[in-house]
Amino acid sequence: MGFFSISGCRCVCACVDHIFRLMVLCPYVFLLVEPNVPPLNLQPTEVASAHWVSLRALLSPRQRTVEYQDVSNRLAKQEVGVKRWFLRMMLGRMLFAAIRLIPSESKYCSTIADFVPQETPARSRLHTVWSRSLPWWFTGRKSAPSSAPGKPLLLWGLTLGVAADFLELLPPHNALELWTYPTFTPWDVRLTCWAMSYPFRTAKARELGLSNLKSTTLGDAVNSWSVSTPPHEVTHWAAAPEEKPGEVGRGGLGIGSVRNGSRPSGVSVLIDGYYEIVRRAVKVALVARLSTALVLSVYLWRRLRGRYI
Amino acid sequence: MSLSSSQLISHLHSVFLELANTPYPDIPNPPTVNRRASVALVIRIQPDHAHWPPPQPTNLQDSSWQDVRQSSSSFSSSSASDPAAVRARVAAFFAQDWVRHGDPEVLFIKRAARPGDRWTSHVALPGGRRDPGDADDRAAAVRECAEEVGLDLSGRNAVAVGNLPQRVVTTSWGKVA
Repeated sequence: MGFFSISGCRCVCACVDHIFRLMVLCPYVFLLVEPNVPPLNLQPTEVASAHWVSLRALLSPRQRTVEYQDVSNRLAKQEVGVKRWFLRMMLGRMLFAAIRLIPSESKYCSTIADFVPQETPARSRLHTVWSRSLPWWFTGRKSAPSSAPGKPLLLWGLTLGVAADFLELLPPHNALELWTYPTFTPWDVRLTCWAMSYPFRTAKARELGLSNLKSTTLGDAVNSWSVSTPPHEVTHWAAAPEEKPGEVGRGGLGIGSVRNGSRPSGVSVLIDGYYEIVRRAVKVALVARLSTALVLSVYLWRRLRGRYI
Repeated sequence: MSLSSSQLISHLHSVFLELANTPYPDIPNPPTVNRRASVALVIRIQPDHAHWPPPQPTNLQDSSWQDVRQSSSSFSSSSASDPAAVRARVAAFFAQDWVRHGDPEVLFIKRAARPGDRWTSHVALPGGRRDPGDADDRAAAVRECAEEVGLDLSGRNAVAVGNLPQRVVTTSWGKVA
């Protein structure tokens, strides 16, 4: 846990409400009917690599995993005077559901800048040892990106949401029933998020007619699969024109069954409104930490005073 | 309980017919949102070793081949979205032996690393912002796919099966206190 200042707590708590609406995303499905696909021509400024991934791999439960994301830069942009390292130390990283991609064919754009790693000035061994001994939240050091050649490709976030809408159409129609929700790595924040979002999640499961909507608990965060979108990619289903914007209609919600073409993205329905609860849970968890720290310090101070005076 | 490839092919055929018959509605832009973006979920069938597709026939009178490849010479949204035409092409495609024994695959890209880009190095589907010159959202997906990976989805080698639910994407990290 660690001690932190009251002013720091206030800075974290007094976030300004910003909702930046980015765009309307429209996915389309295409089928290639030629058996011989010509070689792909990758655009170097946009695409580092392209991968053909078997649908069986996307449907396989064994390929479900989690992606860790440092979201402190997005929080820090909206704070005043709160350093990124402070937020990283307090909140750790966010956990998101991911699917490990198993490509049958991959093509890498060899003309992008980092295809062959750039030469860096030689650093002293002491500098290297020193920088690696610092905790990750102080330096912001990331593990190797999941998409580097040789590292597993992880599908997560907004693209996973789109893919899940397609996978839900295929048997066993459980892409949404295996849902859990994004959370943070520290156990107290995770527990608070789980507890405060429980009524919300059960209501959503009932709304979509899902029989088993899993949640991320302390023990199974690593084993469970949470299909989710990160806070910088919160998606809202814009209601049909006859309804108010932002409301999710109940008509036509037939996930996994015969559809009438009007149902929204299941991912969007599940995540809509969740991050408001997460924000409150983060505040509660941090206040609880501060209170516990104060109680402990008062107790220790009294004991020490009793011993030496 | 995992599906075998042949079961998966059969279910995929049904899903495509359903997507063609019942497209998802277009979501109009909310008042504060100016942009629209499209992505392409491109599916191909990887042939099995024992059931390799026959070489492209030189006999242009082959009716089954023509049924599969028949398409308008230039891309037009009206013909591409005609459910009957899509159903016919999809049915002809899945009637082929190599398709029934094949393995369906999806195309993903990894975005190039760019400082300051919110999507940097992410695994994504080909796609991007809709330009004013695009006829509709589907045309934007076709154009972006051609630009990013050099794959032509407007010609005779691809069928526009349908779409998936549209969504408003926001960035939100709102009030805590």
